[in-house]
Amino acid sequence: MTDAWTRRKFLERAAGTGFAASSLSLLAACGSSSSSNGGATAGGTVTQWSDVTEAKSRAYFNTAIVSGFERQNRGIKLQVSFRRAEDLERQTRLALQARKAPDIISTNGPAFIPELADAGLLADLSPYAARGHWADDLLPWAADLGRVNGKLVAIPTQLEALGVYYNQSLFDKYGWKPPKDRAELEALAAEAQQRGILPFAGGSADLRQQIEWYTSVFFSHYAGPTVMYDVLTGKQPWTVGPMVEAVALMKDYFDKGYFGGGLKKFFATGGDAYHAQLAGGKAAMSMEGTWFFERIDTFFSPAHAEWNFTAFPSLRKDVPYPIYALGTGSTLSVNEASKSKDAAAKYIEFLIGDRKRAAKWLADQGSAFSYPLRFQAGDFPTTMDHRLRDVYASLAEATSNGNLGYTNWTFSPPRAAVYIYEKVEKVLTGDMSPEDYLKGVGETFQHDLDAGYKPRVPNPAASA
Amino acid sequence: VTDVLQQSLRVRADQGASTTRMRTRSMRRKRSVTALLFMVPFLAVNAIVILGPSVATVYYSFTKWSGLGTPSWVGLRNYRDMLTSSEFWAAATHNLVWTVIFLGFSLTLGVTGAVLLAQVRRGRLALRLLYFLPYTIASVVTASIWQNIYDPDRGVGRFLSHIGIGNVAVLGDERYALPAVSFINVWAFWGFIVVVCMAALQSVDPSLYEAARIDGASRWQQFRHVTLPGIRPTLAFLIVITIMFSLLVFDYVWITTQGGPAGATEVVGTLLYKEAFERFDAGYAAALGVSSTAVCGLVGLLYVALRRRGWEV
Repeated sequence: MTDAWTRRKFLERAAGTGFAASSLSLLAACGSSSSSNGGATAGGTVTQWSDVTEAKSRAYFNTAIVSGFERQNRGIKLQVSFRRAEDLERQTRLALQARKAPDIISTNGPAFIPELADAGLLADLSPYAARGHWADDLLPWAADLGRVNGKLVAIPTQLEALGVYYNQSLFDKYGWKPPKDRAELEALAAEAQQRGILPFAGGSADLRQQIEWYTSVFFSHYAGPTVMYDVLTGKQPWTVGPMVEAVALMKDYFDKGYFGGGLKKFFATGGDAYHAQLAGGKAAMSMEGTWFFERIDTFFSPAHAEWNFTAFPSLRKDVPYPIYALGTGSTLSVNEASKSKDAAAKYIEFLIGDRKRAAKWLADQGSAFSYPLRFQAGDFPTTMDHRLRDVYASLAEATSNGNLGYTNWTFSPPRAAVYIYEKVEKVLTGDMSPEDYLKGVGETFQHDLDAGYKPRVPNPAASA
Repeated sequence: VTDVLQQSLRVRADQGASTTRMRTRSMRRKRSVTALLFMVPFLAVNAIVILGPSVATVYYSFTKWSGLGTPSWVGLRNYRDMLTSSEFWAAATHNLVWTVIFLGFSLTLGVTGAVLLAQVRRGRLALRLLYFLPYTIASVVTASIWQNIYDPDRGVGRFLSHIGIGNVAVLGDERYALPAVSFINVWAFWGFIVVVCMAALQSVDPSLYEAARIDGASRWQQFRHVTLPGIRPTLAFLIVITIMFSLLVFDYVWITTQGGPAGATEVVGTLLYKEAFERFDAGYAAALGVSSTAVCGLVGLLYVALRRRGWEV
C-alpha cells in the first residue's frame, strides 16, 4: 500500500481533525451568538436561485452546502432551485419587480447592486456583518464591493481571475516555458504558428460577450492596475495613451491570428470546439478564467494530456508580473421583502464564515464554490489538486501586493460594460478606431455615472 | 265584410310577422349572448396576457425605467432617441434585408415546391411530410443544427478547406452572417409554404388548365396566367405573415450570433432584448417594441385595406 501512514501525515490528519472539531465548536458559538444578537431567533425557510451549472456541482451543493447549513441551523430550511446562468439575472429582476423573488438575491456582479439598493430591494446586512466580523474573512478588495451609501447590501461570491491555461504536455514536448512578458509571448506565439499550432485557442460563438475577457486582460496587463484604477474612478479619461495602445495591441494580436486562428474563426468557434483544440494539442494556450477549472478535466482526460494555469504575461515594461484581472461572478444579498432575513443572513455567514470549510468546497468542486476569502496555503486540504492550490495561493499573494487587474463584468457599470464588449468587435473588424472606441466607452461610462451606477473599485495602492 | 275580413287578416299577418321577427331577434340575441359567454374565458385570458401588458408597454415606452422601481415620465424622448440612433437604423435595415431574403427564398422555394409536388402521383404525402418536417422542429434545435453545418472546423468550413478554399467561417464573417442566419429561417419555413400552397392549388379549377392547354399555353404560361392568379389570395396572406415574422425575428439570430459579429446580424428584436436585459433601459426597449408592433400593424392594415378596396388578395 503506497498510502502508508507516515509520522508527518499522522500529524497533518490529527491537526486537521483538531481543527475540524475546534471550527465546529467555533461555528456553534458564532451561530448562537448571532442568533442572540439578531434580536429574533432565525428560523423559517430560506429560498435561493443558484446558477451552478454542472450536475455534479449541483449534487455537491445539495449535500455539502444545503444539508451542512440545515444541520448546523436547526429550524431553518434552505430551498435552492437551479437556473441557467444566462437567465438568472433577468429572471431575478422580473421576480423582484413582481415581488416574487427568493430570499437570497443573486446578481451578476457588484455593478448591478446600486440600482437594486436604490430601489429599496436589498436588506441592509451591515449589522449582521459587524456581529459576524465578515470583513475579517473576506479579501480586502472584495469586502467593500457590495457597500452602497454606507450600507452593506451584497457580498461578492465566486472569486474569478483571468489567466492562461496551457497544454503542459505540449509545452514539455517542445521545451516551452509559460511566457512572462510581451517579448516571450510573441516569441512563443511565432514558434507555435511555425509548427502549425494555434498560440491561443478561443472563440465567442457561444457567448458573444466572451470578448470582454480579452479587453479585461489587455487593459489590465498593458495599461496596468494604476491606470485602470484611475480610469475606473474617473481620474483619467478612457482615451488615455496606455488604454488606446492596449486596444491597438489587442487588434494586432487578433490580426496576427494569435487568438482562435483569426478573427472570423474566433467569432464562429464555440467553447467545446476550442477547449478540444487546447486539450488535443492543436492550440498551446487558452486565455480564460478560473471558472474553467470546473470543466477542464472533461477535455484533458480523454486527450490523455496534462494542463496547467498561470498569469497572463505583462505586456508593458511598467506593468508588474504576475497580475490577475479579478472579478466576482456573482453577488449575494438578502431580499428586503424576505420574511426570513435573519435566517438568510445566517446562510450568507455560513458561506463565507469559515475559510477552511470554504477551501474544502473549493478543493472538492473547483471554481463553482470559490468565495473571495483570505485563504492561506494551510487552509487548503492536502488532497487538493496542486495546480488549483498554487493558483489560489498565487492569486492571494499577487492581489495582496496590489497586483490586481479589473474584469469588465465586475467593475464596469452596465451600459459601459455592454459597450465595451459589443463595440470592441467593430475595432477588431477595422470598422472603428481604438480612439473612437474608447471615446464611446468614456461617454457611456459618464452616462452610467450620471445615472448613479458608480463602480466600486479596489485601489491597487491600498492593497499593496 | 270582405274589407273587414281582409283588414283583420292583414293585422293578424302583421302581428304574426312581428312576432316571428321578435322571436328571431330574441333568438339571435340569445345566441350572441351565449357566444359571448363562451368567449369570456378567452377574452379574459387575452386581456390579462395580451391587452394588459400591451397597454403597460405603451405606457413604459414614454418613461425612463430600468425595469425596477418606479418609472419616470419622459414623454416622446425614447422615440426621439430611437429615431436618431444609428444602432436602431442599422438593426431596422438588417430587418429589411432579412425580409427580402426570407420572403424571396421562402416564397420562391415554397411555390415552386408546391407546383412540382402537385405533379407527383406516388409518395406525395411522404414528400409533403418531409418538406413540412423542419417547420415542426424547435427553432433552438434548427439553429444548433445549422451552427454545426456552418462551423469552420466541422461543417462547411472543413469541406471547403478540403477542396482548397480555406478559412471560411460563415457566421464569423460580417458579409455572410446575416444571409446565413436568415437562410436558416428559410429552411425552417419554406415547407410550411409548400403545404399551404398545395392546399390552395387544389382549389384552382382544373378546367382552366385544360382550356389553357387547348389554347396552346406553355407550362410557364399556365403557371403565370392560371396558377398564380388562382392562389393569389393565399400568396398575399403568406407574404403578409412572412413580412411580419421578418420584422419580429429574434430566436434564430439570438441562438446563432446574438447580433454579431460586430453588429452584422443585429435586428430590432435582439437590440430590444439587449436594451431591456443588458443595458437595463426598459423604457427605450418598450419604445422599440411598440414601434415594431406598429409597423407590423401597418402591414396588416394595408392588407385589409387592399381587400376592402376590391383587390383580389
